[in-house]
Amino acid sequence: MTQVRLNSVRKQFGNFVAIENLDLDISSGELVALLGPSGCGKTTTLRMISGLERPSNGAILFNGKDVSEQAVQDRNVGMVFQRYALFPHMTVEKNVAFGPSVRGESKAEIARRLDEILEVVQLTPFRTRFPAQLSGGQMQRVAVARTLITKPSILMMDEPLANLDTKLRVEMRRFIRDLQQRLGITTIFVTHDQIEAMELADRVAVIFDGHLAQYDTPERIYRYPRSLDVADFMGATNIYPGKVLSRNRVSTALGEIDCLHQDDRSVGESVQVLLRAEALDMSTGPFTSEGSGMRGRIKARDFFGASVTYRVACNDQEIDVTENARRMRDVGDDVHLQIAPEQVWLLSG
Amino acid sequence: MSGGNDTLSMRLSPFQKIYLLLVAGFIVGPFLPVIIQSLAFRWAWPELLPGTWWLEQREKSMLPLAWDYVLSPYSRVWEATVNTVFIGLVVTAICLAICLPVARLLARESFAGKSAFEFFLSLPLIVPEAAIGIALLMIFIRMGLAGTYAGIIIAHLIPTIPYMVRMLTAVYQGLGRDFEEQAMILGARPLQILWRVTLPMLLPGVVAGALFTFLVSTNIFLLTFFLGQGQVITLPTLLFSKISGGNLDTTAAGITLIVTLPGIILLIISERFIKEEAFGKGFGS
Ligand SMILES: Nc1ncnc2c1ncn2[C@@H]1O[C@H](COP(=O)(O)OP(=O)(O)OP(=O)(O)O)[C@@H](O)[C@H]1O
Ligand SMILES: [Mg+2]
Repeated sequence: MTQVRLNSVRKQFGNFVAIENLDLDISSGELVALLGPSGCGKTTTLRMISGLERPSNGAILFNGKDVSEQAVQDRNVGMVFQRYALFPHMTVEKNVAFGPSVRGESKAEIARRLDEILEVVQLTPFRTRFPAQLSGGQMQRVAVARTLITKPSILMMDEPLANLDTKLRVEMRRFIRDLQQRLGITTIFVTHDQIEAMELADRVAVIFDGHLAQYDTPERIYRYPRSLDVADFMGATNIYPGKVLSRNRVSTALGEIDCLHQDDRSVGESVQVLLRAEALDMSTGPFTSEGSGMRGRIKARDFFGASVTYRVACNDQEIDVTENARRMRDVGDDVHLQIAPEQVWLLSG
Repeated sequence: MSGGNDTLSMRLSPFQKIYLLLVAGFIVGPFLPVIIQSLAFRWAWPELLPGTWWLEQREKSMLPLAWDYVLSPYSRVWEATVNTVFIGLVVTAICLAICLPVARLLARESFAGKSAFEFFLSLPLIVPEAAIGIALLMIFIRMGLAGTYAGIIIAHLIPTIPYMVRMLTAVYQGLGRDFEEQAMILGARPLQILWRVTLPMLLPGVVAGALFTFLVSTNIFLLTFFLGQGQVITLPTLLFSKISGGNLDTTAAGITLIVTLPGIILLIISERFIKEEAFGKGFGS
């Protein structure tokens, strides 16, 4: 089991700073997602951990030991590339056996591990095919198998699901999660899909422009983003400027809203108020006076199958409300909205 | 076999056939007179075919005739063939060893003076061979390399390296770094990566480059002539000494055919090799 630590790691390509002062602590056996938009430095981070790239500054430690001077081959890490990089001139078997074979394992040992791993990734019937004769999902599993057979102490995956269709994605997500839990291997994977990151990861590191914006559990990142950028990236739509009125009350263009006290907010401070679309309760009928009630009218409706998102006009503002699709409301309905204080999140702004 | 030909010819229109014959004529045509000449005893203008064939006169002739002479030790054809093939192989191997790393650099790294380097790469192709030959000869005589295999091999590298570098650079550009980096992460050492990943993936390009280099080397006359000093003979220099009189007699025609043999054999081998080893297996995904 390997624990990974990045100590103020910085990476510069010429004059361009790709990663700036990155501190990251990954416990052994943990599954961490690096999440961020294209070009933010996710791949660069993986490449530094694997040793393909040297940090310009800072140190990378495995189990507390600096590995800066260690060659890629000696780090015993595994990495599944963004485009899989299967060797096109080798069969599935040869691809998967490549690692143990170059490490000089015995033929018998290689054969044993090969059979075992092909069974795990369900590729036994395809063992004599060439990569060009495989589907995307099969190629992906070959890439995973080729890495796992070397028993890496850290498994890294660069956008492992990006090239797969929706159904296969769900399947592979489950597959990766199960495998990771079964093997208990420290895993870092890269994605720019926040849903994927939340579903798979124990902790998510959100990176913008080479800076670590937030590193937390999926739930906390989703509910309590530390910055507007993170909130935005996690798909938040209802963000309104406001002012803290008292310890538990904030005023916005929507009206006054009850909230919980946040230690780092002081009375009178300007803030951004985040109301998650699915945390709002929408009802018709008499207006009860308790809590933070707001009146509005439905302007538009987006149907997503399991859920519906309504766009509600409210005090000259618009607010998105997501509800279960069991009950459908109509455009033009008068509604009122309430939100529990613990669902309100204040961002500095 | 004949069935295949029938269906093929049925599908072709007369025009298509004429074009194919035309191209075939241009490629094979020049060889025909040489082949006929080599088998002739006397072939004088304006006869379309030789008046007397070699085999008819074989018993009567006092002197050894075309093929008898070519195949006899007096002609030195065997010695020249061995020299040609040996020099060609060594030149190809050295050329590959030099050009692979250079092509890799040119394809993947950017460095100061790269475009200047690429420009100067073409210089040996622009400067006349005779000038290079004379210049080299003066240097090599002083160094004791004139008239040696080493001298000729070095000289042959001059026109072949630019081609090889260009070809391999193009192939390297088509090969992403991913594969080698993946191999590295999987634990492969540099030589293992070269042998198991890079070379097999570059194979079609390497074979094409090697083939080309070999053919160029076996055909170089001027440099070999200058630097061989008559001590090392190859097929082109041998041929030249036969035709320098100004006419293509029967023995010269025979040697000409021998000169083409290494190339043809190599072409056949590599054609098979490339098809089976690389493209037959769904290369290039
Ligand atoms: N070798 C390099 N030389 C110069 N710039 C580089 C190099 N590698 C990466 N970069 C730059 O560093 C930044 C981060 O690149 P990186 O590949 O890590 O992005 P990413 O987060 O993986 O993006 P994506 O989601 O598109 O894969 C990019 O702006 C990229 O252009
Ligand atoms: Mg990337």
